[in-house]
Amino acid sequence: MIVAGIDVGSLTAKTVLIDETQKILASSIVLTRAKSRKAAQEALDKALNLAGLKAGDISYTLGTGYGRENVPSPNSTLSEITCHARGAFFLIPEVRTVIDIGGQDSKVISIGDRGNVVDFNMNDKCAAGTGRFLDVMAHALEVDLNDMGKLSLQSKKEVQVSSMCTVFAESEVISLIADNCDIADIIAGIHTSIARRVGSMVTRVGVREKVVMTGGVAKNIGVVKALEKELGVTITVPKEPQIMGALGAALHGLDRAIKEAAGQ
Amino acid sequence: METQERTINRLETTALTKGLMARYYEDLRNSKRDGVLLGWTTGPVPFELMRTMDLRFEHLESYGAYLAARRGQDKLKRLSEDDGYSVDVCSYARLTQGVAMLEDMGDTTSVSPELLVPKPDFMLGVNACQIMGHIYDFHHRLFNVPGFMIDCVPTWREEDFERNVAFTRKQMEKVVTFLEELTGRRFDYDRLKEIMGRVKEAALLRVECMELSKNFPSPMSFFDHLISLGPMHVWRGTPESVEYFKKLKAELEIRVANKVGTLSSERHRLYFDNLPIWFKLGAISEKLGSLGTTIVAGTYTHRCFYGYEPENIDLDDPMDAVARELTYLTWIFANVPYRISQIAQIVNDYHLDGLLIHSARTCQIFDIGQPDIIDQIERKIGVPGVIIDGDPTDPAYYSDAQTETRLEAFVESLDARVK
Repeated sequence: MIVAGIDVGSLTAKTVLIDETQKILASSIVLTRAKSRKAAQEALDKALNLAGLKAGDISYTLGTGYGRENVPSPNSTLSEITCHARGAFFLIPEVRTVIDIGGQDSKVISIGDRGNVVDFNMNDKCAAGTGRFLDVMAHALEVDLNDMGKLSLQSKKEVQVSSMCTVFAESEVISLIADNCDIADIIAGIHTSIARRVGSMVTRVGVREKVVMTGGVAKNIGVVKALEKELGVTITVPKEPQIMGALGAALHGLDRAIKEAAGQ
Repeated sequence: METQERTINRLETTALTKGLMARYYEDLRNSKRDGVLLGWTTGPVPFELMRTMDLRFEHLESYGAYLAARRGQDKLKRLSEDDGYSVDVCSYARLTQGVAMLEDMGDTTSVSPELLVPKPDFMLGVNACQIMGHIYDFHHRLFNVPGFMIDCVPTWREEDFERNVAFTRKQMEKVVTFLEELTGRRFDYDRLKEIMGRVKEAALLRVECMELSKNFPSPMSFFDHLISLGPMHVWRGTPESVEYFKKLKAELEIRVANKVGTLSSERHRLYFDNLPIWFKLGAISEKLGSLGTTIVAGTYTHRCFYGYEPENIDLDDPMDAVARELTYLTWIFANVPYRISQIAQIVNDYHLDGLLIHSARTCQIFDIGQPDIIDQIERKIGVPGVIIDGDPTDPAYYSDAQTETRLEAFVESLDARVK
């Protein structure tokens, strides 16, 4: 039995394929761009290709993420909060807090002993403390988004970026560039700004170890370090943090497929 | 969470409110023609006293809710913003500011005429929050008509309640003098008693409807209660109001006898705290309905509008009841520990399994203590809660996708608790 979990986010669409033993067969990440339906299909095709499978081999598809309605013929859907919790718990059973920072939102999920969602907190309708915030800052600094993490580690004297608002922070960063501040110091300041914003969301839900970070921003070592400093805990990042939602979706999909097969 | 199609069984009686509200606004528009004085009011003002004097009254918050779901509201808010008011100012206030400015300019074409209410002949306000005081001043300066502002003292401590009732009552007596001077007529206390009798009758019937909604499945949702506020708000004290709740109760009794609920399959029952998101009532109830979830009760519907112990209304002393109702509103909203105790009681009484709390962007006074409410309710009675961001009337502060994600994730977490 092959099950697909497809997570269509604002910036990327992800697919994870698993078999009935919960073994991950393949995963993929593609850019969502303007068409989330097309991106969902592309992500699925890519994963099928990697696993050497065909669309007809899939027994069950579960969609998640903001574009979950655009997943090609899903059997069911679930919110990304439930899916991120499940994906992180599957790989790291000791997890009790998940910090997920994606393209357009950040979430903190408190997890129970069974991998269930006990509580969660999300950012409001604002890009502060999200992947989009970093994207805008990378653009203002003329650096590659993927290089921000390691660049920030070279910082010797972090500067303070006080604005939380993406638009204000961008103009603040431009002023810092004009003042000839070191790029690495500015980036470190940006990461601390995100950590402060997300840190208060974590505190609200309650920090319980183990803390796992998922989502695309978890690939930025600078943000991870800034959050560790802010919260005073060690943060574990799975090997591929961006696919946690799709993995959780696939695992829930498998549960449902088994239930359906048993006629429940 | 699988989203299966579930229909929301709408009540027949609630459809009557459409006609009642249309008549109410038509009456306001015809005030000049009918030779009746029209007041613009803000905050929990004593409608009973104005009704006793046969006056008509617009009410800022219900007018804001009325405008919220209608085309043209952008234009109204824009007028306020163009005049220099921040987008963070109370959205009810910004909407009526827009109406006031159009009326002042004599502009009857920029928005549909049904959205407008004529200039006032008098003003009556309660400074239940700071903005209410400012918006009252704004309208008062603009129209330069007689006005009275009721000073309202928030009840922070339970032991201050009776003292504050006495303070409010003194103000009510001044309102009577104001209305007598305005109209040149004597205030008829027997008429007030008669009106208050109908307020009590309707309030008791409404409480009986609330009691019926405790049944499984619940025959009436929080949304139905919201739709039914018109008859208990701007219509209260009238025979129409009493008639409405009689019909509603009869319809609910039939539903209960036949075990018919708002949802055909009710899995979770929630509580709602804070002002409603007026322009998204349908979308939120449909979304929750698709998740087998209904909202059964809320602070706004079940503790305001004479929802709290109307059996204690003393018809021999109707002024006491009027003062008590206004003072109670300042207690339930200003005193977070008291609000928490009331929420806990309702959650238990109605067998609810979650709290849905609206963080209203432009009504920050009502947002006070929301994380504490969630923490305390979870700690006291083990019922979890979630906050959704929005606004009573301004869609600029609301996101469909974010709200849907939160609602789905919350219901999924409730499902996981049940397992």
